[in-house]
Amino acid sequence: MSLLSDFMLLALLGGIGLAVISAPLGVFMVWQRQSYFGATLAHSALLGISIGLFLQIDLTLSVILISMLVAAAIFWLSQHKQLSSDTLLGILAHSSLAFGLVLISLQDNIQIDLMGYLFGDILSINSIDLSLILLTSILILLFYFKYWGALLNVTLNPELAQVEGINVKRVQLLFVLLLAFMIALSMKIVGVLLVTSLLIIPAAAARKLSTSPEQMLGFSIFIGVCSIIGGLFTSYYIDLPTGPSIVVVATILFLLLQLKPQPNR
Amino acid sequence: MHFSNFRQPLIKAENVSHKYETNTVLQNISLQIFAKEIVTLIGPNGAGKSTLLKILLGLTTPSQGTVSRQKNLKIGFMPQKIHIDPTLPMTVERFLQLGLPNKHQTLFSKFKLGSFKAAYGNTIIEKTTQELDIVNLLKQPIQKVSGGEMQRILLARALIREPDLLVLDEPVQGVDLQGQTEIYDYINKIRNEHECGILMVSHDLHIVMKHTDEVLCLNRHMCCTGHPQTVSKNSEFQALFGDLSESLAVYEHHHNESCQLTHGEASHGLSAQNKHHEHQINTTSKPKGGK
Ligand SMILES: Nc1ncnc2c1ncn2[C@@H]1O[C@H](COP(=O)(O)OP(=O)(O)O)[C@@H](O)[C@H]1O
Ligand SMILES: [Mg+2]
Repeated sequence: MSLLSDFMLLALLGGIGLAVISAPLGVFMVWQRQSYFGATLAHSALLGISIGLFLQIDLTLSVILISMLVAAAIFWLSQHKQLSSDTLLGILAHSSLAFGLVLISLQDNIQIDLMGYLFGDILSINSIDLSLILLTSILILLFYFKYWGALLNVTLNPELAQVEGINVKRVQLLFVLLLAFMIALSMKIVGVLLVTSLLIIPAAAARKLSTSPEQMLGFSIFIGVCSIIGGLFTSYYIDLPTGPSIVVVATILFLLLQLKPQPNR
Repeated sequence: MHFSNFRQPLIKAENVSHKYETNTVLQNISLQIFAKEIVTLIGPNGAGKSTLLKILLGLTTPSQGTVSRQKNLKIGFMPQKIHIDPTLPMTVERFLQLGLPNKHQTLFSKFKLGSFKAAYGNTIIEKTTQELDIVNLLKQPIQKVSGGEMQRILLARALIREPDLLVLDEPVQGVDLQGQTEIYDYINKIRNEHECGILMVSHDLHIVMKHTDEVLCLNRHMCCTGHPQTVSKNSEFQALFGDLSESLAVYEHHHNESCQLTHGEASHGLSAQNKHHEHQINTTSKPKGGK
């Protein structure tokens, strides 16, 4: 293993872990046309950071709490207000980003590292991060073990699902909270851009290869993992920024797959 | 009023009114549906038919009034329209399997092959899809089927739950005329075989009347209710049906209030001044073709 330094190994493990847990959330974001949702949550994470700094509490904790609060707010608003979720998400994304920046600028001696915010630093993953990723993957596994079919039915048609006896609100809320939790957690490790990319791009790329939801999940994991490995090694050998390299690899895979015709008869 | 009143209704609405914001869509609607009964809801676009169904199904809470359902009532529902995102890869077969009343459709249940439940479910799917003549669609992506085929698929999905009550919102929308007759015949057969109650929304009196026990004309308020003359007459009619290329359906009903608007659309502008009258309907159905 002389090829891999310790930090590369950790980055690989963490990145692969993130790709694996992103896939089951990402496919549903694509199916439910919620790709903007991830971006909104990621932006609200900045609000979480600034509130955490302001109150001097643990940043990971405050980011997770704020993200889940924003997720619950989005969920509630979409149930009760007439605004389209697109508009709603746009308002929340930008207002929470603005509030976050204002709150940060009110505090002295704090500067935000924009590159770090966007791309994090996957090469600085430590074993605590790894165990958090493992914890999230257990939560996600438990959720899908129980609700995979229910969530598919809700995605197909919420009204039909409810008549058929599924507790639609509970399933949706749990999904949204899980998503918020995952984004908040991995935000700190890999940054806004990489989180949302890992959620959306592999899932979108996998569509061309799949004829069933489970297949799309499988291919999405595979493409995510390939992007992580590809991105890490390119950046390692050609000395490119790691986060962006991963996104670029994922995008190239997505584009290549667009050349392929749909697998449907 | 109805001879079956002594039985327990499957579902019952009492004095239901509904407003969207300030727009009153339903006013003081009461109805009951019993097992083995087909109730047809007719009315012009925007009459509140779909809203009434949603209230009965518990999807919408009415502004006023109450809905009571029998305990553990299994409902099969066919929505008026369904949009399935093209990014979701799904065959018709999988779509139907997801409708099985399987409490544990987990990510892994797909792999528990040979389980009794799965085998039983697949038998029902096989039977229902054969009867609805959609077996050839099973392997197709669900986004690619035509409107009329989609109606059959949605009906199949409602049926494989083996419901006590079937609620169908315009079940033959987009289906060709012969297909309409087939579907209504099939629905009638289901009613007799499964002894379930059926509530459906329809625009075309012509074909649907043959099997209907009670007609509700809705135009934001319930403007009239009625039923074809007798059940025996109805079954006689079934026997005749298919042999006649042109037959006359005669049914009788009672008017509460003016009903012109409803009937203007539904049955060729018959004026409805009289409190009690007969409608003559030309059924344009063709003889039932071979499968
Ligand atoms: N979710 C809704 N919000 C506001 N108005 C609605 C909603 N759904 C239906 N309506 C209005 O209620 C009326 C009745 O609609 P609907 O029940 O769909 O009629 P139908 O099914 O008889 O054609 C229409 O005028 C429609 O515009
Ligand atoms: Mg309608």
